[in-house]
Amino acid sequence: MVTGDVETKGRIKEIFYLGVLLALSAPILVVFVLLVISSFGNQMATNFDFSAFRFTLKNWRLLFEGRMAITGGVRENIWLHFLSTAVVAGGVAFLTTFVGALTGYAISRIKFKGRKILLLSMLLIHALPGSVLIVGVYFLYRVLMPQNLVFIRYFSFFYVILARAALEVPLSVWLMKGFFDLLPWETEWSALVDGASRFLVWRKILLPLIKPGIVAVLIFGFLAGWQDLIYVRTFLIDRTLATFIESNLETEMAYMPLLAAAATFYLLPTIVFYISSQQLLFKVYAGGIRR
Amino acid sequence: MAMVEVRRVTKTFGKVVALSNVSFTIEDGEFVVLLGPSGSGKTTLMYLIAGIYKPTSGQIFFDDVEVTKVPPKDRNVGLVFQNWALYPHMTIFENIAFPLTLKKMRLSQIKEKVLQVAQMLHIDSFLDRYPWQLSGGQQQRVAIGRALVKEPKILLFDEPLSNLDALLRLNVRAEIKKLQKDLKITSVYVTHDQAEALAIADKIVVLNNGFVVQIGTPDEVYTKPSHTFVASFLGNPPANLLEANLSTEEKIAYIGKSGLKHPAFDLLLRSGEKSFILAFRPEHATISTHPTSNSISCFVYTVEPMGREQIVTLQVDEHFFKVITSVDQKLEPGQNVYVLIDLSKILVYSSKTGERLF
Amino acid sequence: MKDSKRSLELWAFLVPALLILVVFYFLPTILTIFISFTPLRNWNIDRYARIFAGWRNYYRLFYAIQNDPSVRAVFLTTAVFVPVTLAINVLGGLALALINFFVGKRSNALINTIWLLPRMTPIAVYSLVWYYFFHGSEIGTLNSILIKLGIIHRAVSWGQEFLPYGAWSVIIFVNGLVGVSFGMIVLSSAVKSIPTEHIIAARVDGATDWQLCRRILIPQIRWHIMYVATWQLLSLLTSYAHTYLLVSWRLVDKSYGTPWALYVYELAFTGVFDQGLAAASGVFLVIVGAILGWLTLKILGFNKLVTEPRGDL
Repeated sequence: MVTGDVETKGRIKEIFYLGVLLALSAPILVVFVLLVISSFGNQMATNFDFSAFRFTLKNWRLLFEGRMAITGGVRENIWLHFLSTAVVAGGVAFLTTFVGALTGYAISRIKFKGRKILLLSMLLIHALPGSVLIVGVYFLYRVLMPQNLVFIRYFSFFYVILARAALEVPLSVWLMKGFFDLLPWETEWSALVDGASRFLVWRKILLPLIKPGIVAVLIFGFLAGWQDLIYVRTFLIDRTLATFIESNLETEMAYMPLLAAAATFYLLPTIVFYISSQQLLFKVYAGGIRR
Repeated sequence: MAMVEVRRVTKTFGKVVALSNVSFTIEDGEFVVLLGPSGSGKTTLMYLIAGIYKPTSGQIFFDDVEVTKVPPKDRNVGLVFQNWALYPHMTIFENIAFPLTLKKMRLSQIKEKVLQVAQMLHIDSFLDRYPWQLSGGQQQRVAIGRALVKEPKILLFDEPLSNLDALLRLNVRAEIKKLQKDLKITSVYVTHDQAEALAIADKIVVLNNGFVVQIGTPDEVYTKPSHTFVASFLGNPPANLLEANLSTEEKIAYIGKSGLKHPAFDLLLRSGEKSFILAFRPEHATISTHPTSNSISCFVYTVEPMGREQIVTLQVDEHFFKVITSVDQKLEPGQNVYVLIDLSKILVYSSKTGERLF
Repeated sequence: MKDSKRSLELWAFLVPALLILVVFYFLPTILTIFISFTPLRNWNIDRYARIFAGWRNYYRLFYAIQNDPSVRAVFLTTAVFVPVTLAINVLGGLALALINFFVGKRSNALINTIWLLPRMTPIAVYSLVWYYFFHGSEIGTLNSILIKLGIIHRAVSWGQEFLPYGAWSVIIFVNGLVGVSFGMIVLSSAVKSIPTEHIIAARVDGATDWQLCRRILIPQIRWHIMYVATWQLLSLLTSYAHTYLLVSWRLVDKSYGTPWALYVYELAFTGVFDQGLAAASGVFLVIVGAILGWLTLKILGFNKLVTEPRGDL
């Protein structure tokens, strides 16, 4: 059947539009390609000057050995940064999905007083990014902070995951509600009539039915946690790849390719997740997103 | 006003063949209905005439001028959609005027033309309303008005009545036919409703699986279906198709255990056929409780009263067929009865190809 | 089912979300307002948090806007940055959505992939690539291109020279690209939901691509455009992550590269550590944001979104 526009336009026109679009998109592609090329070079390739450019794996070797020139004798364990980034991202992913699945179900399926208000406030705080409240959130962090130095480290992980997840919860609730809305009521009713509790119905019957939705929200939450800079630099005592790049930027020119390697390394999981789950993510994004 | 010729047109979407080798002509001022079940390619064919699709191969002519590659806007066709496709953000006036404003016509001229069309369709009092404020029938007229306002050479209807309720459908159907006859405008009308096709068409093109099965007047298509598909698609209930076996020695066709004699069967025997499909309309048979010559012995399966008449489903061996009789005839399920077919009205089809033999 | 058991079950579903709502939205709002009435500095809560400062922070804020050139610059930057970036976001998103409509499905996927990249990329990496692009030395991509073309003859520090326009251009460009994908995705799906018959009808009537866009497509998605615009306005006003590193890496001038939301963050967490003033500036954002957010939901048609659950279970 007919989809999109009809077969009335010429191919030339389509190629023209595509050309315009690609020309507009070129800068985005160029800067990322230059970053990746630079990470394999003895010098930055960002000026398109390849006369003295030579391919080398030195940057990557130094990166994994943790030998950042700027920090002199102090070695940076890049894998530890990777791990803490992954912990934050994984924590945010799990928490947003879990809360989203619980609350999304309640809003979609259960009649209760304040249901509308809950949904309204979820949407409102989704529209108004929680990051404007960061001063208050940090105040609470300082008040709750334990005295023991070992605990502080774990507490900071715990808190940054909660605080960052809180930013994504409204969206995940909204999306999950949408997924639950699509499920037929009859499935649920038949289980309830058979004597199952709401919780059992949720866990055993409905969750398996919205698996693709759960995966989408998980990936979405992971990418949100993975890309974060502001929350980890504000709350987390350990470094993540983001704060590592932030603080190591002022390297001398000679070491700039090393940072390009670090950035490429940081970008890699994003690209992998992104490409493998594009269709799902488009759906999530189309469901309503913030910048 | 125009004549349309579709010549050996094939249309494929990827690997799917939507239409294969379709040819027919539409005379000037003729009302042609493209009839077929869903997926038969009837809408594709209409979109090809409109220019929305381009044929994969073959040609289309308007008045002997080839338009195969001409874009729709230069073909001067008017199109009425199933869901009417009225623009929700425009008033009725703006909707009807839309094709004219694209042609950059003067406003006074646009107003005059829109008013003229609106008066003809009796929608001139709604011109400043929005589509959602109108009833289905009124929206239908607006859609026709939008198609007519640019004075098209050909008017195309894509199942325009299927969004209306049953009673309204009958009225609008009659109106469309009257309008078409008054304006003498060449029209192509797509439908899957055989009753609608029979009622409205000058000529019916029956499509199935992308092939043209039969082209003819409603009467020809109904009384002399060229193929078992057409016979079983038209009529309500459609024609009965019964498998008949020929006995070479007795020169008799057997349906179940009952034998039928007809001069035509001799011809079949001479051509060496062992079996054929016997078709007859439910109204071309009578039911009797006593056996007569040439009657088929069978059992009553169900009786469905329809007011003036009743549809009797009968069973012979494992085959079922339907006969329409007067409600006065009292029949019980399971009763053994004898059906006498009007042999002058029967049709005979090949059991191999489904083509009509005579 | 007994009522007590029912409500217990309901609570099990709602408690995690309610906790998050209270701890990370409700309490911080109260705390932000509270801090704005204290002289809190250097996060020295024990010393300052119990002192009531009255309206002093608000007074200081208005005084600074009137008299401090760097705060005036922040104010001016916000007034330019937000509307211009918004226009780029909405018009860019609309343009991409419309072009998406006219090209084939495979091209759609390519375009979506490219334009979602800025949003998906870790903020530090995204800032870094543009840091290299606008870098003030010869390694800067923009400099090297313009020098090769002979338009400029020495490397230009784009975010630091030609103030304020240099800094504004850089932050608007970098943020503009991030926001375009939102409009693109929302408006693309809006355009897709327009019945195909409308497009066919217009084509049969002879509409060109431009007429189709202007007369049929854009009028039918005007509410979606409004929605995208208010939503983007809100996020441009309140988010600062994509600008933070550009300023802290000194790619752009500190004053003319800092919109209001970033200013709040910088006050509280970098350099001066003046949380009282930061909270007072933040309160304004929260108020403006809440009003705009409410407006967005109005446009979205909140009541339409909420359907009642079926059954009486």
